[in-house]
Amino acid sequence: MERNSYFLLDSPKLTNEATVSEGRTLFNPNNFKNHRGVELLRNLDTLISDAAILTGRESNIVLQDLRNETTSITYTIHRKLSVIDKLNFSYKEKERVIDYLKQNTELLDLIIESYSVIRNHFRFDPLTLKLHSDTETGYEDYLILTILTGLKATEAIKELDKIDDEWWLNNFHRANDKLSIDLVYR
Amino acid sequence: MGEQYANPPLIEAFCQFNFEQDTDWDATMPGLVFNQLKDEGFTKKKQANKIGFEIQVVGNQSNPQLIPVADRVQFYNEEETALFQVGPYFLAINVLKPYPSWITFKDLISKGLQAYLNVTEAKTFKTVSLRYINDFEFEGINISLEKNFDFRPHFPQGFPENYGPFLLGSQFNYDEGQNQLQIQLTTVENGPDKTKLRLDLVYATQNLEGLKSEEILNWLELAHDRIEFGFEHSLKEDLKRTFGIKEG
Repeated sequence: MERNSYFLLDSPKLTNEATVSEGRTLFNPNNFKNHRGVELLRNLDTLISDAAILTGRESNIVLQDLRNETTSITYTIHRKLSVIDKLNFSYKEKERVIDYLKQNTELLDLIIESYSVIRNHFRFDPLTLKLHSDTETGYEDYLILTILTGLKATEAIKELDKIDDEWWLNNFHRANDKLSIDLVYR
Repeated sequence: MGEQYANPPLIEAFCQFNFEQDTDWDATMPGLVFNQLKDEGFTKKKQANKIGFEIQVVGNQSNPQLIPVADRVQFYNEEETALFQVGPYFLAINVLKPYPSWITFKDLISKGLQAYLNVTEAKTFKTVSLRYINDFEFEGINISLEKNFDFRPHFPQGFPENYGPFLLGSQFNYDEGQNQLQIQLTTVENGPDKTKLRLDLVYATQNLEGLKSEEILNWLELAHDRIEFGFEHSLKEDLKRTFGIKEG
């Protein structure tokens, strides 16, 4: 398939504040820390809402993150938890999952990144977060992100392999054995 | 904050410096700052990712993605109770619970700033701020604000006693408006079994004309005094008693 990419945000007004590299438009949060940035964010809000409507995704949540300063560790953790809460995960024993994330904050970025990566391959499949505890063996607890897929097994495994190649193999070390991404078939 | 208390409510304090972009920055600088600070016990290096976003349109479909944007490096101590954050024209020094003491914190700020200035040769401060974040946990909901806080919202008579989450903030100007103390009291958790409130105090300057790096520590001392005044006068004695008094 021919890939005709262009950028929704590719207007002269907006590109003043954007970093354009390798054919991708990347907006750096640092560029929004001024008065013009506020105006730009309003415009972006509209554009991203449009994009979200087109794709059915929750893109607008990110703007909330960009508006806040990020120096505070306390607020950063709170904000990332808030972003995760707004992503379309379902939970098994949500309170335990959130407590675990609060104790293992290195997982927060991974969970947020994983959502975007997984959605590229399993667009509408339900995603669940649950905490795995094994009190009998005494193994450490860890989080399981389950993709409940409607794809055939061969297709689903192929997509999961792509996720491995694109992202997980380069990032799983950040999880310190505290996150597993599993497939479950409907 | 609350130096004399055995169990102060402070969960995080940090000092943040932003510099004018009047010197060159390059990506090797955080590593050079790290080299100067690792002998102080700050040996854990982490990349702090912010969440950025990207939108591509392929054919008729747009494809918004959340992506990490790496823009600063964090150097933690072994216990991960203190860290330096280094980025382009940016330095922050954070301490987490348990708060070490103002003298120790100020010493960290001084060392971090010196290392950053040595490496980057940054010349001009853009903004400086000092911030203290305190959390108070209470059992139950609808706790008496009047009994615990002098800095609190006033609810007119006739309003329901079940008051729910609130946000109260004010700015106090010092030195003809050159320096500001902002105090904010907000609900962090509201029931069903407990209430958590947050008192967030930040002291910042908007007028740094002529402020030299050697004068920063004096500015910080005054900032700390004013934050401490704000903290002590925002709380009622009943609440302060729950923190206990440090022995010795």
